[in-house]
Amino acid sequence: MYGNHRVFHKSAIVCKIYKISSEIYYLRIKEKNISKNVIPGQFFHIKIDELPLRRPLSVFDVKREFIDFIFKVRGKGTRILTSLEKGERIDLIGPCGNGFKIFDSRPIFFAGGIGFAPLYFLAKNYERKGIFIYGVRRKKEFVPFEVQGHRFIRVSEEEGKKVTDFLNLVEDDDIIYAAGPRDMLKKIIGFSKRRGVKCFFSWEERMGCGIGLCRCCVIFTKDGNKRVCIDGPVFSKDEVDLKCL
Amino acid sequence: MSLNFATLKLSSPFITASGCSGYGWELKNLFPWIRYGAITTKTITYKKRPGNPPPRIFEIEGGIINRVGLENCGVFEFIGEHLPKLKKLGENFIVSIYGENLIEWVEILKLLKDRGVKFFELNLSCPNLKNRIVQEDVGYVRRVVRSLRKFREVKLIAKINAIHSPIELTKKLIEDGIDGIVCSNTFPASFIFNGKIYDGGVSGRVIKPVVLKVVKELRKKFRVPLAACGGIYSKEDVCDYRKVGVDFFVLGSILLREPDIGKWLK
Repeated sequence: MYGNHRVFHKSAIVCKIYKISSEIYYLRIKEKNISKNVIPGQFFHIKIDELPLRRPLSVFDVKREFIDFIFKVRGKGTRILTSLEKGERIDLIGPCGNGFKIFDSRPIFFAGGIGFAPLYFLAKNYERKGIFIYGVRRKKEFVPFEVQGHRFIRVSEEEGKKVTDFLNLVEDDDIIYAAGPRDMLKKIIGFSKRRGVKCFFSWEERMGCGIGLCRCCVIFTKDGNKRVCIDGPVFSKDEVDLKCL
Repeated sequence: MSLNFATLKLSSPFITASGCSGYGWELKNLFPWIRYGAITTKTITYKKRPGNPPPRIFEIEGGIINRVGLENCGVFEFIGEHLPKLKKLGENFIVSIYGENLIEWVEILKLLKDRGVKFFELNLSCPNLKNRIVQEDVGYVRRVVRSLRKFREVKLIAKINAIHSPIELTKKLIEDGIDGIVCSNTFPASFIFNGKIYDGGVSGRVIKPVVLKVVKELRKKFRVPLAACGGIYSKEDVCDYRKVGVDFFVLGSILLREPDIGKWLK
């Protein structure tokens, strides 16, 4: 035990891996001892034999003994991951991080790009129903999944619409959940601070160990530096000063 | 078999490097079965340090560059929050320390010594400080070590790097009464990220040949207890260091990828 939950270091079997849209892959692994411990917003730190550092992948869904991820090819590490094959084993540490808290307010989800992964998992498990806004830059980046039960809005910059164009749907008693590019997050954090609306967001930073030991992935908060890997990746808008992000 | 590094009795020749295992107790909490010979804490300074703003880590071919910048809670919080947890796990820990000046070095050591810390690693080679790498100023280093050496009841281990006259420095350190040497810290390095240049320290496989050469020379010339730190990723790396006469191995970058590696590197 460390922090609030148990972290495992395991080798898991790859059950499925395939491309689902432009540069985005779907990966399913099987590891029944871990799957029941995962909460939305958490990630696994995946070892890539050829490289010195692991890569953090946000959990997209959990079904029985399966853990699903969707990930975008961003560089060498994620490129290597795409060559995994069914039946191979991967070495992972997790579940890492704090994950999202669920409240009794109407949720409004703002998912930009691959930020769709943690918010899809969260929305699926959210009892109160609200609005899910999912945006990408180019239409070919859409992943072929829809969030059921919530009002689902899908937009692309190519068609002239951004996720943040829908901030006007937020009412004072709502709760905002956001994951995606930094510019988008900053806009949403700024909005929620001005309006006094509750807001939780998932932050990304270049990461080392993923388990709170090396202090490489820090975010500056009102209480000093916090580690994205273990104190986050989910933070509240109240913890951060927009000017310092 | 019991090994002895500067009188620290170890059940395994593997020691965790400073900066890769938090304040020392966290790793054991995560992976209770881990058997490292000893754990080295993050470097503790007199005052709390915020460290550098991100990005703090960058991957290169065969290594990583970090620029954490000695972020730590300061000696007082360390004593209150972390040291009790660390002590609960046993005696096999080394506290890495760094002072901004002579007075701080002595104060930090005194505060920790009075609370039962016996083994100190003096961080003389952090590349992430604004002005200098401490070991470049041999005169100053000698004043530090001589001041700390007055406390005969503690063991002093110097963490040096392999590129700033390590042989000459070690000779002086031995004259001044050092109990052990860990070679090497990360080497000063730069990387470019999103068009901006950042300075940091490089570690990993890429520095191993240089460290191997230097520890070989150190071993030939001196009998001081010596631990190698630089690119230990496999049993072969351990064999290479053994071949040049080194018996203790400090694991750094590898811990970021495989925090429980001690279980197979016997």
